[in-house]
Amino acid sequence: MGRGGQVKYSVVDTSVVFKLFLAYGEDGLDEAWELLRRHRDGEILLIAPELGALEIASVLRHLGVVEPIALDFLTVYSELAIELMPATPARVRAALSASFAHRISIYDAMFLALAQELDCELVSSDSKAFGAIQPHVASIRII
Amino acid sequence: MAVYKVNVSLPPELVEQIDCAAAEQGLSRSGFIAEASSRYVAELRETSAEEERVRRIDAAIASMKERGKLLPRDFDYVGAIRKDRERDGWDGVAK
Repeated sequence: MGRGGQVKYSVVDTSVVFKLFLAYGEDGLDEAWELLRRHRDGEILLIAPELGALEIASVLRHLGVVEPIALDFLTVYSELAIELMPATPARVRAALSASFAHRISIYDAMFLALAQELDCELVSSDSKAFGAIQPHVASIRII
Repeated sequence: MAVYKVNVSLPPELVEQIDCAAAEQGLSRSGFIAEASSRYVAELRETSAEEERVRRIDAAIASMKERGKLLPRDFDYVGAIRKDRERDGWDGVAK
């Protein structure tokens, strides 16, 4: 990461990762690539709850992708150097409170709570989960 | 801490600058050179780590485009993730 100044984080939702994998005729694809480019260049650091890696694995399982290919996807995901944040007790508590407060699932709330904790934006392609979150709660960007 | 004595050859102007800066920092000439060398080594390592990080991300981006072709074009990934996340019983409707 760039030396000197404070690191600027962006929480990246799993939906954005799949958008990048598919990279085909998608709204918001340019924004997703731009996000990744900024991460690559050290302008921002993309982060996600550890849950993000599990979600990728789970979706691939549901898709019926064979093991070697699924493992390959995970390797590529890991090479993107998205920093995965552990579900500490404090984070789970914060997420649980957020899930009640904003009427979202606990899993969605893990992403929201992380953005709140680090006072950074949350970038998602899931408007159902995060579209109704008010700006004073967290900075949400739906792409 | 063990120390090694080393003989290095430096231009006189640089030695003068080192002594001047060392005096400002309250360091001996040896202490100053040790500190400066240590920082330079750390900087080189950091640069190398950054270059490696960028190289890995670039390779991952290239791989992503290839791997993505293995997924169905009409794949509703948002829906698939939603299905996973709503396993906590929350379907958007308060009970």
